[in-house]
Amino acid sequence: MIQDERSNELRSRGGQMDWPLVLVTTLLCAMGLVTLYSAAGSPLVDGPPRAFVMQASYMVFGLVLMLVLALLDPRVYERGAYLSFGVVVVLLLLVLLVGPVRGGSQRWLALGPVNLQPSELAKLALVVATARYFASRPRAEGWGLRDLLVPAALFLAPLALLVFLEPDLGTTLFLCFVFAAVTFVVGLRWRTLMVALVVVMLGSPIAYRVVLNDYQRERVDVLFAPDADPKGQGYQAIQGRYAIGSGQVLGKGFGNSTQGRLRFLPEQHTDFIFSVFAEERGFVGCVLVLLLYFGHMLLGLWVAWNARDRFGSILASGVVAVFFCHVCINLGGVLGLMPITGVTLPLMSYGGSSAVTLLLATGLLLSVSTHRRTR
Amino acid sequence: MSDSLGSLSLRVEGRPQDLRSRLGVFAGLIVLVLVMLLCRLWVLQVVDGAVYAAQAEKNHLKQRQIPAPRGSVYDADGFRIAEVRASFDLVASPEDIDLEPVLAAMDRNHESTSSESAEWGVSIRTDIGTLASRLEPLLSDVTEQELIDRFVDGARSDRWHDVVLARDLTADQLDRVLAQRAWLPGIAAVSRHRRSYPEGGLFSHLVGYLREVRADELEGLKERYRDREQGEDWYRSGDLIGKYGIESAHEEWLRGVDGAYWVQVDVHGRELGRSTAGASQAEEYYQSIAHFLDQAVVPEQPGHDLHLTIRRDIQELAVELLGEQSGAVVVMEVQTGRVLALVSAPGFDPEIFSRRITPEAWKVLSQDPRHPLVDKALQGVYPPGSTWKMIVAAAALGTDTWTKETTVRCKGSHKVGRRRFHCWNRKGHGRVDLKKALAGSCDVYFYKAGLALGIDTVARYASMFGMGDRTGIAINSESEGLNPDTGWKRRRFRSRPQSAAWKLGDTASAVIGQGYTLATPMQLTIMTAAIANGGTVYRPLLLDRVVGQNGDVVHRADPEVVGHVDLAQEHFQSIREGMLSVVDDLGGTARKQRVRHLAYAGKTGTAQVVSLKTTRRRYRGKKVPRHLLDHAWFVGYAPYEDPELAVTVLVEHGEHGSQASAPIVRKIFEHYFANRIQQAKEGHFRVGDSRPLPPLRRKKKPIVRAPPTPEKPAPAVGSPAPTVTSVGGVEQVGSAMRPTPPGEPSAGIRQAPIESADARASVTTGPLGSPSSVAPTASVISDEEVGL
Repeated sequence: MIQDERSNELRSRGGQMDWPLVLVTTLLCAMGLVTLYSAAGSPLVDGPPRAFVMQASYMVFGLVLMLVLALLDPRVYERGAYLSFGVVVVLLLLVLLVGPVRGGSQRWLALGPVNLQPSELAKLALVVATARYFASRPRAEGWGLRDLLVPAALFLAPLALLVFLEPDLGTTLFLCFVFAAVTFVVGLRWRTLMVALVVVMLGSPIAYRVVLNDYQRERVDVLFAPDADPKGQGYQAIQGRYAIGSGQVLGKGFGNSTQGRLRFLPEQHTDFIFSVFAEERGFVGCVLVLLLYFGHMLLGLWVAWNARDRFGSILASGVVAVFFCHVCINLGGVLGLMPITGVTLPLMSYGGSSAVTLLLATGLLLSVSTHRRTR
Repeated sequence: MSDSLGSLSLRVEGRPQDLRSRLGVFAGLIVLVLVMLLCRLWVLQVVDGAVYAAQAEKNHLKQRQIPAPRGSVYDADGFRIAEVRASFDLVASPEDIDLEPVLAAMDRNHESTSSESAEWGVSIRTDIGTLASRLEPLLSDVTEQELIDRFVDGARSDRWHDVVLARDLTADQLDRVLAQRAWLPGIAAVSRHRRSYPEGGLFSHLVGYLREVRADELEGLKERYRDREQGEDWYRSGDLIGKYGIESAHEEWLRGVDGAYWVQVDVHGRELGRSTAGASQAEEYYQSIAHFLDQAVVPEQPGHDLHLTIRRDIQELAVELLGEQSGAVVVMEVQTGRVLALVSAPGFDPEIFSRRITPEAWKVLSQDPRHPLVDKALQGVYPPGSTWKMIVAAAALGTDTWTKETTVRCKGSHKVGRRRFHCWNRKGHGRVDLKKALAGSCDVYFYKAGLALGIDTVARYASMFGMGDRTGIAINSESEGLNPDTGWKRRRFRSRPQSAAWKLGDTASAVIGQGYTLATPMQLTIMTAAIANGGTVYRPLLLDRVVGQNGDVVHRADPEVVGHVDLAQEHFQSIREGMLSVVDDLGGTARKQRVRHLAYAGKTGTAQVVSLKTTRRRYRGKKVPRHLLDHAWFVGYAPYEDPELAVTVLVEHGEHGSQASAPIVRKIFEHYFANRIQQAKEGHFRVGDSRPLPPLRRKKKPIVRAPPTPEKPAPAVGSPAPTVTSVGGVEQVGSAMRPTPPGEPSAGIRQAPIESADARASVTTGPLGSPSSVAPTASVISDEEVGL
């Protein structure tokens, strides 16, 4: 229930739950689950696929946590920000120490039946910690590059380094984007931003040659020429495009995704689940789900706008930044606008850590929203 | 919104208003990205959607062929000459197999946290090298490299259709491959129709064979059928195409049109379901993919069945009679041109060509001195020898140069220019007229006749009989033979003018069928038939009718007259009398082959392989090696009156037509007319001879003796008969399947087995080992002894 700023003045702390945001989030979860049911399933196997059952339980768990977080006062998070940051750093260290190696990288912590991916939590920890840092340091003159050295060294560097060592370049970059988004909101100087953009643009060809390894370079190459190697590097991109395109306007209908269900499209239930959704639901469904995502983000910004204090506002915009980066990077890759990276689509891709983290993030949004300023 | 005054108070209170301008920019960025993504989706799904939909469909819907069975070939009585049976081939789908080993399979890079990937355990794609190394031990008769080569060749020419890696898997191979199917993604064993020739080599040159269509032929075939109803895809890589004989000549009738269905496959090529015709369209599965398909199933159209004019029993008899000898037999109906038997011996097993022929088998076939791969009946050209004399006679009578009463005195030779031309009978025939000249095959008579006529006149008559021209039988690229005349020689020796002039000696050689003159056994059959039927030249017919799948006759071949010999009937009659005399009268060259109850006419012939002089000089007193012996001809027709059947027999290196070839002709007549001969025997008359049967004067000794003494000992002929008896069960099955033809001339052979050891003692086993042939054989002997 969004109310005009002025009519909000009389609200006490502990106001009403932000139901539209809850509704949008739940709808996204539901759409994700339904799509997952189809994408992870196959005509050869009867019954709900295992991934669906797992994801459903993560979702329920995450939604409950989200509501719990929504009820707590943001000040709790402000106080616990650095602590939680420290916990995540410890978890990331543990990953490097005891995490199982899969496919050449260590990204998980095996906790009994479930695997925890602390790099997902790192996104949230970064947002919370930077929100606390910047909340107490308003700068009317804005933040220059030199001013940012300290917060970058304190918060971004430990997380990014640990994640980079896993190695997980995608998430490392993701953390950088989120940090950049937060600094932008707290007043990154335009001049600094421009310089940074120019440096990135000029630096990217060099980075392409120097920093990236062959595998990563190929991913970039595929973006520009997916048809060069249709059965090798370009396969994923091309099959994803076939899936999305073949949905046409109205889609093939639930359970009729041939690209996904017959496994022509790899990663069909994780990073490329949007392709399967697009194949089954068509352009109409895609517009709907995009509106939900962007509705979620805009509602999040509205929360930031109306937040009680700087911490709540920065926290809310940080959470929106996390969602935004997720959606942009995932859909950018899936739709062939960006290189394909291993970034999930929020609340739709299969993956417990990601889903729970994003629901926790939404819980933080709801908390800020519930405890918005009353004037 | 963030003026410095406000920001001061905000800082104190920690209020977020100073962030709002940035939040607004952030919201703008979000909306911008939203619009971008929507635009991209619009392009992908709405603008280009149909293109991608087609691509996705190609992924999971595969067209599969329903091979159409090739038509069967039957003989005139409905016996199968060629049919179709099932066999299994190993095929590989180029779409699902890489030519080179790929890096790691896609899903190995991906650390899936779900155990679901176990269901999809096999990596997505495999390369042909890996598959070949797995297949080699399973097949064990082909090397890894061969498999790779076959795949690469096939995949290059057409990567949308399966490549055949191995044909006709044995039961063992099939079992092993099927058991390992999980490790052979992209590989399948498909049943296909295999051409089978139940009679083996019996019809080898006639029915021909199939071979795999070559890549370079494929282009031409696509071109040829592009605008026709069959369409350019009628032939595909790996298909078999008729290359020889009936299989080749009637390829378009025999070949069916493949049908198609669609299967839905997953990324591993595993089949999830297939489109089916008819009631099952209501199936849930079909419904789910129905919207992808225009048509569930395109039914295959089987090839047409051919019914030939050939009679298996006669063909079989002719092959048996030739035995190990090389040669040719042609049996044709005189009044229609329908060919009842067309034998070229030795033959071959037509099935070996539809597989990959082994080098050893090829060597055996290609190096056999008897040339099993040459159709001697149609492609073999031989000097026709004395069988040419009828043509000379026709020319002499037709031009009124001579009459049938004209006599010539034969002293054993005739001098032409400075060269002496001998009669085969060095002692001379004495004074002969046409009848005697033909009966005794007097060369001198025909030297003189030919010299009186001139070669061009003889050649003109020869060409009326079809000599020097293809008969038009339309199979096996038959030879034209050679009907020489002065013009021909001038053209032939243009570069050497001193040899180009036609000499009288050439004429003398030509009129007795030597020298340049060449003819095929088929041509001589046509000639004999024309003499018998009074001058009508028919196109030899092999195909009687073409029957479609529902039993409709879609094409019927009618007798076709292609020429006429311009000669008065009385002259034909004179020639026929001479030919009868060959067999019937004392002094006839084939007198020993006379059949008491069947009057037939014929003519012996000897085709020189090397000149008499050479042979005599080199092998004086010694045995001449077989490959230098003369070829033996016999042409004949029966019955003498109202002729029905013309037969030509050529025995390579048989030396004398009267001994090697004439008995075969006689036995074929005896077989064909067995029933009528039997009736004639009972009614004391002679088939084909309206004159009263001369009384049979017996000597004291009984005529019927055992064992018989025909020219050829029985084994070559008789041996198959007991074999049939001994495997009676099999034979019963065989005959139960075959309709019994009316008139049953084959009964003579078929029933032969009935007489086993005890029966044989009482009945003289003729050369055919058949009761019906016994009596005439016996009468031959008696006639001789009586000295009629």
